[in-house]
Amino acid sequence: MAKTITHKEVIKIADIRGINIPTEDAISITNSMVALIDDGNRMSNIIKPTTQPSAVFKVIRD
Amino acid sequence: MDHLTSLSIYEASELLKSKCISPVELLNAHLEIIHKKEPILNSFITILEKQSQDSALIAEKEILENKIKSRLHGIPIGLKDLYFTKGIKTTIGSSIHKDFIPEYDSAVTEKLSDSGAIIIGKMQMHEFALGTTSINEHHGTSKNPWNPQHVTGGSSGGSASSVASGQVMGAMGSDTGGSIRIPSAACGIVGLKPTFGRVSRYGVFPLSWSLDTVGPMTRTTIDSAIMMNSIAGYDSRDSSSINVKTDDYLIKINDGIKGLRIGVPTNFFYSVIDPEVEKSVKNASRKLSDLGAEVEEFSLPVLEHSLAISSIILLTEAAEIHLENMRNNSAKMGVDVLERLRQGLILSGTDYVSALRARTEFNQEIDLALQKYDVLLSPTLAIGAPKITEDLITIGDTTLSTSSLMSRLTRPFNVTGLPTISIPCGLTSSKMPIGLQLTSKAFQESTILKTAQAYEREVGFPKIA
Repeated sequence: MAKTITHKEVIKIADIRGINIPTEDAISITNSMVALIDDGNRMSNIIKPTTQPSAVFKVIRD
Repeated sequence: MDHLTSLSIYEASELLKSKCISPVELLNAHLEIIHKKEPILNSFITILEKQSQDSALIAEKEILENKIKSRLHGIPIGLKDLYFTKGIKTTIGSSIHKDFIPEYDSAVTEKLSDSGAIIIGKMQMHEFALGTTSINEHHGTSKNPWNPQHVTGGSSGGSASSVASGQVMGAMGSDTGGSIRIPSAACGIVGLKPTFGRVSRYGVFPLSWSLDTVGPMTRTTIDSAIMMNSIAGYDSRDSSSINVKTDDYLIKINDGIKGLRIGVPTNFFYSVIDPEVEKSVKNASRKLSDLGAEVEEFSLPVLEHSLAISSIILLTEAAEIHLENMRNNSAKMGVDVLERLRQGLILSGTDYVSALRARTEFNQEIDLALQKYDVLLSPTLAIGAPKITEDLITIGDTTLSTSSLMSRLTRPFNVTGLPTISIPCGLTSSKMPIGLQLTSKAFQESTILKTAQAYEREVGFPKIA
């Protein structure tokens, strides 16, 4: 994941996807995403090089 | 609740079968309670008074002719307002779809109708099922029958309040991050999230294709099993449906739990929790041990990653579903829902794939734990249902948004897709229900149902005064 994110980047990414986000809303989204980005970066530590995403439901289907 | 509306589905089905009561009489008692309590609770988006009366008359004739379809025959049931109902408004709790009328029934709607259930209404919910409070600016907020100043939890809030208050005998919810279990715990009822793929999602408006699950909400464990008997099974119309033979969920429900191995993870679930909730859940754990289960505490470090995995997958998949709404209808969406969807928009494809890979590792760790234990036991909610006006909750040194805290403990089991049931296990000092959740291996709903039933039979569930 990104190391961090700014509200200007939020506006730019949304714009690329055809969505206009007002600055005030972008600041709020950015604040909400900071904790998620931190958690996401820690999450990356449990992924082994061989892990395939296609195995998501392997446990259930087996 | 009066006599008829306080019956369990099981009790009512026995009285219907023996013709001691009629479906019309049972329905009218529930309609009376609905009209009495609805101005306070706001459990419904649509009350199907005429349709349900017509269905009850048909059920009455069939039962008199001894053509009994199932234990749900003649039983009033509510559907969260994201289950498609042919010719009946289905809003998904939104303003955008306030006039949407599906041209077909969801698979669950079909199965309940085939079982003879009386669909009495479409239940209030958090907009697009993307929230944990059921505070809804478009259709009004559902209120908790234990104290209407408190939230019902969400997103299946109307389903929970209607079951807890006796407006319906059972209801259907949906669960993507906890939306069956959270309101069930908050309103003091039984909520079952079946194994991913066990109950068809055909005709249920989606939130997240790889996390969504649909299941029953009832006042008793046996009633949950009765509803599962009607709704479980393979459906080729749902690409996530898995073709595994269904159980009769009632057969082993009273078998007891002697020798059952129950694992209690000691990390994650207890790092941010109201001490009253922790005490009640640990008391329940001891009770299960007294009933013959082998209960053991253990550490499961991978749980710490469940929120990141769940959030990235849920938000990205929800943003994909609602992309056009974000482009064209954002002014019609609630502020909280729009903000979550926009977070999903900002996450990247690589973030999503990382979460899918982490999910595989996560699921394998949980699977390993379930090789040692038959059931995992944990609290459902870290708190009793908060007041509607509380946006932030502080426990010890930690302050979290109400929304985040409400789904914190339920999400791990959406990541795994494993069956999980929430049952009541006490009350806080402010008289709000406390819930615990029991999780088992894939398709082992019978195991968690018999564990829940052993607890219910021994201890009972709190009832609204």
